Amino acid sequence: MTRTRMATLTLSTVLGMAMALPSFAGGVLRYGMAAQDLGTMDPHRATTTPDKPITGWLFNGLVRFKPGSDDIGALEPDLAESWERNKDGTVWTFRLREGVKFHGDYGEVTAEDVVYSLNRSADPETSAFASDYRAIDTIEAVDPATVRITLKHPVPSLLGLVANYHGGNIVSKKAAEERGADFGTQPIGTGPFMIKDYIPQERVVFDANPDYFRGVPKLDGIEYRYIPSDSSRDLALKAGELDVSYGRQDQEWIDKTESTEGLVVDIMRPAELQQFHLNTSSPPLDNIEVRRAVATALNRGEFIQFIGSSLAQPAGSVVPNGNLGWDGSTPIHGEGDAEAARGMLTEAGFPDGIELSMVQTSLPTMLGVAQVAQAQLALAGIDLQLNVVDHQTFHSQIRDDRSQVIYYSAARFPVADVFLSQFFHSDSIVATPTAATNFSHCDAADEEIVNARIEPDSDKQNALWATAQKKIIENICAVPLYEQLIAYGRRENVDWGYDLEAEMHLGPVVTEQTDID
Amino acid sequence: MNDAPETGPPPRKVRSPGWHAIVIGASIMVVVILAALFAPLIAPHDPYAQSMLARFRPPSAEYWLGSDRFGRDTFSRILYGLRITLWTALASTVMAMVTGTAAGILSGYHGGRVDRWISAANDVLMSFPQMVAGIIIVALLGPGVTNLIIAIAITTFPAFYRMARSAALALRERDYIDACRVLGYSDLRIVSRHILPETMDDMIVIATLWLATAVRTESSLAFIGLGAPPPAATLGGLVREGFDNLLDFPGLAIWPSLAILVVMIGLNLMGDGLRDANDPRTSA
Repeated sequence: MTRTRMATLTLSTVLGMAMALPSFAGGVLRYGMAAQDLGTMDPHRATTTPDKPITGWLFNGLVRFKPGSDDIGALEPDLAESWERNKDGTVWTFRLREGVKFHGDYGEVTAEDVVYSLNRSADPETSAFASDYRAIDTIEAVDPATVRITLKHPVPSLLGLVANYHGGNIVSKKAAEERGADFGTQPIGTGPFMIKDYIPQERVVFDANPDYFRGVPKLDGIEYRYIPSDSSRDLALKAGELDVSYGRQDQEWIDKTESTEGLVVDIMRPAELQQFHLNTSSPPLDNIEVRRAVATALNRGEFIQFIGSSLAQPAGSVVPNGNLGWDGSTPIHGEGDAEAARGMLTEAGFPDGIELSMVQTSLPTMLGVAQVAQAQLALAGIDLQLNVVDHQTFHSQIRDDRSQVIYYSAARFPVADVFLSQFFHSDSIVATPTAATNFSHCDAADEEIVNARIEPDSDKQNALWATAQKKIIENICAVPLYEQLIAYGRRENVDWGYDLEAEMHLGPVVTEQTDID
Repeated sequence: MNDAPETGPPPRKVRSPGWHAIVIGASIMVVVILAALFAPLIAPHDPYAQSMLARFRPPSAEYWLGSDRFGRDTFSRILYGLRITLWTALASTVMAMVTGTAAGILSGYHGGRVDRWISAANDVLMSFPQMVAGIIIVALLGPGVTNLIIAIAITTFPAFYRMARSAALALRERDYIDACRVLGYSDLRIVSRHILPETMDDMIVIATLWLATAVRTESSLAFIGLGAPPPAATLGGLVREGFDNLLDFPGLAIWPSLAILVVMIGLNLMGDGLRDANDPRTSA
């Protein structure tokens, strides 16, 4: 008996030491992501949730969101150390921080790199965010450390366009020109971590940037691992094989993870607005009464029950709550009234119901929401055919205009213009040369969206945005279902180095202050 | 697997070594098939009806095997899952049997260039492992029950083709077939009246064995997400859905797995029994 006990003790000690070793051996943060593979690390092209956190530690903007904050009123200097604007806000001059080095042998950041980067972001050939930069007239390098931006007209938030987010990220001109399309897998920025290795469908490895201008990172590196299965990621987090992991976005997961010893849950903004975009150019959805029936059959309350109240909150408009210009005064369908919906379909000439096709990602949380909708619509005689594909294929097929109903979850730069322009202005209609993410082919509020952009008076601007939202809601281009915060699991010994309340990159960004105790 | 019979039809036995296996296997399958057929009468709930207030219920009088993350009754979904899974397996096996036997007899009886071409095509098909071929075909055709049936049928085709071809090859050299030719019977008559009936016993045995494989292929394809699209319940699809919550609610994956196990045992016992009973070497 004693011998057995001794053996057990010895074994468990050895095992315990073996398991504890990795965390002594290297300060490498292991970050688990719910995706099959990398899409791109090119910050001007990274639009998907799994790709965005990476750009957060590879790149800097001229200014930045404070780590853990999404407050556009509190942007702070990043690559620029100071800036000034002329009286009417059409000419902005940025003074660059001196001695900031790009990763590897790509030298110091100069005004040339900034000019190149912002022009690259404004070019639809090289950027997914080109439409955000329409108002820019010229970007010039006044001298190697000074950049001047001239606008065609004042914009709601110029600083937002040069922040460390989407197109505002500054890339190395030399590297981007040299590497072309390969920049997506061999990115060069100025951030606290730099690319070391990319193993397709497995992981991306980052090394600490010893020359980082805010100081040498406390961690040695990051391993960003692709583990699409929620259960596998959970097991890895529990077993200590991951330090941080993209959570399963529902209440059961949060409750269970919080009750697990050694694990904590980070819940953060921005709330991603979950909408069903209805393709208004595709019969029978081109008939507004059919769209009304679909919207009426959807039960918005049930989605919040399905996801749970820690993460889901009601949606009040077709842009996310908290955006500058948000207006929640227009009533939204989504009553879950199957009877009424049937009546509407009958009146619209479809007494036997309709069939709609939907390309849908296999990511469990999103597929779950689609299945809840499928069951709700079935009660009203609407047969929602789900064509389930992997996440990358989903993103490419919905951009090819191959789905009648598109479930899209998004948060953007928190000014209504961005969301309205990308999702509801006719320039952004998918499968067109200027395409962004207007899946519904909506053109109900083009005039208001454009006029609001150049309206100098903020009250009038807000009124224009409110009217745009009203028109889009009344035209039923999209049905906002609910808004969802983001949940990550983390081992207790990981210290982000900042208060994590929000993260514009839709996942915690590892900074030079982040550490594993 | 069986070889072509050497001479004439196999002798009929009153009792053969596979007898017990057949009885047990057949009993299991009768229960399973009845459960599937009468699922609408037996199932306590609508397998597709969701209830946000009854998510993840443990097994109880109301939800015999608990409920899933949509509040759907697991027991009812397994019953309906049996329907799609069994139908897929049966339809694909019958399709493979009909086309494989026809092609095999044509190949074996006709010989020559026709035989070479069909055999070559069949060899190409056989060079892919069954799951890999299944994945490729479903990926090409797109998911869905019909495409799944076609995919499984194509991957099962070689089993029937090879068997029918070798049987036809052996039979066409036999004296009574020569006699038929001398009498001026048409090829069609010789094949349908004298060759096909001789091969049918073997084909049915193989079909039973491959039925189990078809169930397994369907479940595997559904498990990797190439099965019938939601909300359809299939056994493999249920296991896959259960995996999303495996750590918290293991029953959601375990119960449908057990259902697959029972079906596999039933079909395998039946298939093995039939094979033994039909095999002249093991027959007493």
